[in-house]
Amino acid sequence: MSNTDDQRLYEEYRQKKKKEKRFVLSWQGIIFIVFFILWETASRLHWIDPLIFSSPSKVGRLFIEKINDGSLLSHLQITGLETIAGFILGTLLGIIMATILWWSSTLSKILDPYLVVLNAMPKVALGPILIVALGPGYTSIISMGILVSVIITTIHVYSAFREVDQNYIKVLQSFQATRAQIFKEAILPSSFPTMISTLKVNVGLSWVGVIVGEFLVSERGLGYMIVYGFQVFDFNLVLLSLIVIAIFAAVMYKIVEAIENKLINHKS
Amino acid sequence: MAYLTVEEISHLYFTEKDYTKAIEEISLDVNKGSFVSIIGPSGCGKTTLLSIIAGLIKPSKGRILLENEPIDHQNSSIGYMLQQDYLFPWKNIMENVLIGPHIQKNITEEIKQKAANLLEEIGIGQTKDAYPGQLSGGMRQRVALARTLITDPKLLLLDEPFSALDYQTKLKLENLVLEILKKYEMTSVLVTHDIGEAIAMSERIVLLNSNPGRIAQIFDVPKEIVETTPFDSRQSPVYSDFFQTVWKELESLE
Repeated sequence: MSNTDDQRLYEEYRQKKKKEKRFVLSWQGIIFIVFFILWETASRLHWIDPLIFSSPSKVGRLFIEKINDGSLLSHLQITGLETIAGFILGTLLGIIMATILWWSSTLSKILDPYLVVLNAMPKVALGPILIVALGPGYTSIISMGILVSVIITTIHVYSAFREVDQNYIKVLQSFQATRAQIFKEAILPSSFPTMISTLKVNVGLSWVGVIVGEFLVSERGLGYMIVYGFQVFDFNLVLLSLIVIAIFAAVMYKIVEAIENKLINHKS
Repeated sequence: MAYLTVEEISHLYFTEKDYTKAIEEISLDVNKGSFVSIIGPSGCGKTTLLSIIAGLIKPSKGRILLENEPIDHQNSSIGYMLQQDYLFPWKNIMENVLIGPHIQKNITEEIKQKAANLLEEIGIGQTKDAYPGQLSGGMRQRVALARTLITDPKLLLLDEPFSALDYQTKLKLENLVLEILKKYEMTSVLVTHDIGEAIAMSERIVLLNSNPGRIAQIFDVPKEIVETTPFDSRQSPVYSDFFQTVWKELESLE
């Protein structure tokens, strides 16, 4: 008797949750559709200047055209690879630098003000110097992607290293562990969640670095498409690149998030 | 000859503005296979003293000898149990127990078997493949005990290892720990703020006073209590009398 009652209550709860989820999803869809309809209408009725703000239909036509001649895909491929390289190298380099700082507390004290200055400085401002020094090509664009993310990664990961409970270290020291063993057994695994969350931040930062790099080098890639579109006053092209960047940045973020879920589930 | 000698240990903590003396001129002898407790009001430098005995902190003055050898020249490990278990959550129970041999690059089939036996002995043999998150506080502290004993330490240091547990678990664990330590003829030093625990478990009690920590008095626990298990000790009339004596001394310090 009471068992069926419990079942009914559970069923009600599930129905409610389902309804809520449907509500949220449908509003997300509505906002999406309304945005594009509004954009199209505003452009056609000249509420906004169609020359500058384009319209979804024009961007769509351009998208199909650029897909067919293969140029969009090649630009996307270049930018994507540069971003992934900048993102992975920036994160790795940051973790290595954090390790060095953890290893030598004297060094970290000495370098502290320089890290603060480097972190506060807008890294993209170094772009012109990079391009002259490394030449206008992949190297300087990827370096840009690295530069944007490396300092913040260093700072975050280093502070995670320092926040590890000292008692774990005490346990290992009572077995006469070396500093390298303490790092490997306690510091690194405890800081894993922080490293993953830095990864998520770095996805966004690397896109910034790479796009700015492509602005400056102006040879190929989505950043180049934006600059080119601006120079020939073809804002359809600018908006198309923007939308493609937004979609792919989101996809990369989702991939990192999926990796995070997998790693964290594995742990518990 | 004493097994463990604490020789005129003093220790200062420095900050940029000031310094504080945590402990002053502490000397103490501990015989092989005996159990000594250190009690005192908070801030008497109990944990500092224990860390110095373990060789984790270098004292400002004095030295620690274990079998007439300075503590920092030891090559075997000192067992150290902390307030909480500090098991590594990403390692399973077996890996946690074997962390000492792993650090010392000494993992053999023999030591694995020994770990399994040890876990069996303290009543948690079935948890070998579980992760610390799946175990209760009492079970986790048992794992920490096994982790400490696996490397055959010459000395076992206990820093309030039962303080984070509920009363019932604590009583059970006191019995178990003492039984195991007696079996392995372990020399142990316990730091606690719980007078009852100190009486029930040890042969001698060292009372420290605070700011800076100095030895105020040393009590020898009555034979009747030493010879019974911690749980039974607490029931005996001698226990309550002795408790009163220690309590009054501790009160007079504060």
